[in-house]
Amino acid sequence: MRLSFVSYRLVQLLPVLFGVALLVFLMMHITPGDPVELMLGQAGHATEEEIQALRHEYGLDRPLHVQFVSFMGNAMRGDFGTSFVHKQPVSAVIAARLPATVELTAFALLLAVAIALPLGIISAVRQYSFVDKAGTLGALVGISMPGFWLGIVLIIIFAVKLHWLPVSGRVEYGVGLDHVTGFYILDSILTRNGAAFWSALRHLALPAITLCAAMCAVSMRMVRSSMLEVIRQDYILYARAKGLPESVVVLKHALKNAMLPTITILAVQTGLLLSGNMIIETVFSWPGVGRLAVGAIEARNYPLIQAIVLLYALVYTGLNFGADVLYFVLNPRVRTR
Amino acid sequence: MPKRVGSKCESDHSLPPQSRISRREFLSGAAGLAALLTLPSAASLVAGCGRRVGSGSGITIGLDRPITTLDPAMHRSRTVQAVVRNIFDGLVARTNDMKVVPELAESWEVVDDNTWRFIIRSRVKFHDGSSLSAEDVKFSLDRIITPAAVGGQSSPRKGLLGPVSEVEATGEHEVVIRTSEPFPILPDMLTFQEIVPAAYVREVGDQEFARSPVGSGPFRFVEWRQGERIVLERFPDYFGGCPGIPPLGPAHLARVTFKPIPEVATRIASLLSGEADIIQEVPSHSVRSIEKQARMDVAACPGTRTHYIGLNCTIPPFNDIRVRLAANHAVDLRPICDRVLGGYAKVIPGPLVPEAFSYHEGLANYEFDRSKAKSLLRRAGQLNVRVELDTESSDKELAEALAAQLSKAGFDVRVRVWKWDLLQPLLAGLKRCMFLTHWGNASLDPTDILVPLFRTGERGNFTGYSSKKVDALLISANTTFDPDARRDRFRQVQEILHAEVPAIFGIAKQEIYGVNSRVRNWSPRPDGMLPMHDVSVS
Repeated sequence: MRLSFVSYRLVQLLPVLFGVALLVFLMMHITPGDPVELMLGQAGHATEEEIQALRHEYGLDRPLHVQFVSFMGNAMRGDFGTSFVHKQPVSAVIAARLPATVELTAFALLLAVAIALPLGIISAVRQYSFVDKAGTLGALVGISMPGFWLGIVLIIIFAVKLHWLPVSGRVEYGVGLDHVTGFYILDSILTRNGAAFWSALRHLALPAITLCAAMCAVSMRMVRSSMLEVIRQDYILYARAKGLPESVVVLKHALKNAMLPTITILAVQTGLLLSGNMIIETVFSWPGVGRLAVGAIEARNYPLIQAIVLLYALVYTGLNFGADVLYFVLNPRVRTR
Repeated sequence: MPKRVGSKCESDHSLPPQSRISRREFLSGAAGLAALLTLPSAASLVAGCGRRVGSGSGITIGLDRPITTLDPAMHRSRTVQAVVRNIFDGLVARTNDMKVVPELAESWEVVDDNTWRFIIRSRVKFHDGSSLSAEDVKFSLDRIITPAAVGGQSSPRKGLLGPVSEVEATGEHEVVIRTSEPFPILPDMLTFQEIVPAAYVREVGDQEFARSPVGSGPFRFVEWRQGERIVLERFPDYFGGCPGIPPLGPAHLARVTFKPIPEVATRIASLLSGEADIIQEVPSHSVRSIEKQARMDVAACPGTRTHYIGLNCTIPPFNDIRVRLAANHAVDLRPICDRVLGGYAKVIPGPLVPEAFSYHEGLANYEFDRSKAKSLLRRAGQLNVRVELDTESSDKELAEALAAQLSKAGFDVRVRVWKWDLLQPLLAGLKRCMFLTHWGNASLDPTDILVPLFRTGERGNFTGYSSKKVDALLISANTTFDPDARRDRFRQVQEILHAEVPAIFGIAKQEIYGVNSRVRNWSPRPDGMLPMHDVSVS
């Protein structure tokens, strides 16, 4: 039963990924823009023969359907082609940037959960208290502030004025961080490099706070409303009547049930963090996939765009799949259906 | 003349960074936050809040664009060249005032119209200890001119070497370069090419070379964290550099770090926080707020890029010369340069910047005369004609100022802002009628800008301008060695363009940099290169 559910959901991923690949491919080619001209830029001379030779080399002179079939065929073998701009395999270009994005997203997610969960619970348990009202106001501010604006403001306060945190980058030069996984926090722990750990943490702070702001606000409100709904249920009243301590009632009986919708929201929000990354990575010069994607789109770097969008689609659908599985595990009603 | 940086002497860089916020700073920070809501851009706000300095005997440079490769043959980016030029040397180089001088070449001579001989300097070492020879020069240039020579890919820099057809190492330190037609500007164009070690590239392969390069320049490669930074350190065995650009010897700086920071507000914040010592591409509206800060300076010099308003000569209304003349009479670029560009720009009467070879001093911009513009439009039957002025977001304010002037002189102009990747194919297909754009001319030779913009059917000819006489003059000038004859032909072209007005000329913007005043012996260059050989820090 469980296996069939998982395999059914996994099979569903395939047409989604194919559809995304086809859509992105068509959209990129329908939108005007010539990768060769954009690479050559608004300067200097280039002959028509040279331009045509480059187009031929990139395979841009082939019919669209041939280009797409070739891309999909190679992609299924893990070959996404060569980046027009970097002149390196697309997989290598993305691999160099992916750890930065994953690290930032994971840190922002952890931060958001660490703040949203307790705040949401307290706001629900003590409805209309000062914490609840302050949390509501904070959530409103968090949702309303655009990431790029918040990022710039944080840079001004904490980097330019106070000099507490760096403006950009992932780690200072000279801390001797050895490359193990590409995740700097993890690498510094694995290599027991305290200076690198501290440096990586300081560099991560501002982008992670900026990225987590909106997610934190949404999650907090979701936890609060779910908890409010649950703690009014009869079984909570029954638990209290049994004389269970309030902490057990809230954390064991109420929170477990309130987490179901929150998990879905967290999965969707984590997917949204990826798109948020594009802006935050640009503001903080964070060397991740988001910034790479922005550059790739501006340069009409087709192989790189297609690979990045496919990766995003995979992560997004994977997160939703993960949420469904978790939902399945946590919710007995779904399991028995 | 470039403004020299480092003249200010403020040396309290040893002060520890202030670690707590004072009441005054808190209030000014709060005021800054309030200002964010009202100022025209975040860059201006960031520029208004900083102080502090850099550190150590190294220097950090905030770049305006990402670095995509460190292989000097595999890019077409000025920013990439500005970085790799510190790792590699070329046969020739440019001084800060743009004179071409020998670098790895000791001398050169024109053997005949299609043959050049270069004598290569001996005792030049690559960073891996091997000696530079004529074979390395041949290998480097062959990588560029030969199709698919770099790991199966072609160099996008081929066009910069024009008709170069063959390179032959005729001795250990002698190279002969042959061209398929006379190419008088070969030395100028060789300033865009760097020499790589053939043995090392063959050993590690092109892809690894692009990630971990070895050159013969004043700094050797240490680290590249993609998208984050490139670190170079002084090469102690450096041969010394161009005799034409003293002082000679190894670089002063122990380390140079290049950080790509494409977002302008973040770049300015990096300067003000002390994370960067020099930043590229400061918008003119942020200049004053940087200058207000202690130990911060702005350095500017004339650029090589021409901004112009292209008028599509193939479609109405600008296929009528009277309408094109009317557009030229309708605008007064001087107040726009002063007010919109803060005075960091110069009005030019043609496509060439004043520093370019054969710039025509005898030409002047069309007289600003609205009644004449209206009269011309009336005669053409195009009074109050509706047109869209296309531009990119970086030039939006400039375009709006131009549109306001044009609208007062009988045009009905609406500004349309595009991303360049979308606008370029429309311009190339001659589908837009009026556009504010720009074209670079880093070689300062007219060939580099007049050919792509105004020869029939060329890739930058977005106005659709076509003149047999101009085409013939350009071909003739490009294949003539006599500088006087070339000058004469290029001047004729400028006169024809001035008379036939395929565009409203023009604006030459300055290159503006933000600089920490601890930086010594550095000045900006019109070509945007960032040679760090002579730079030091206090």
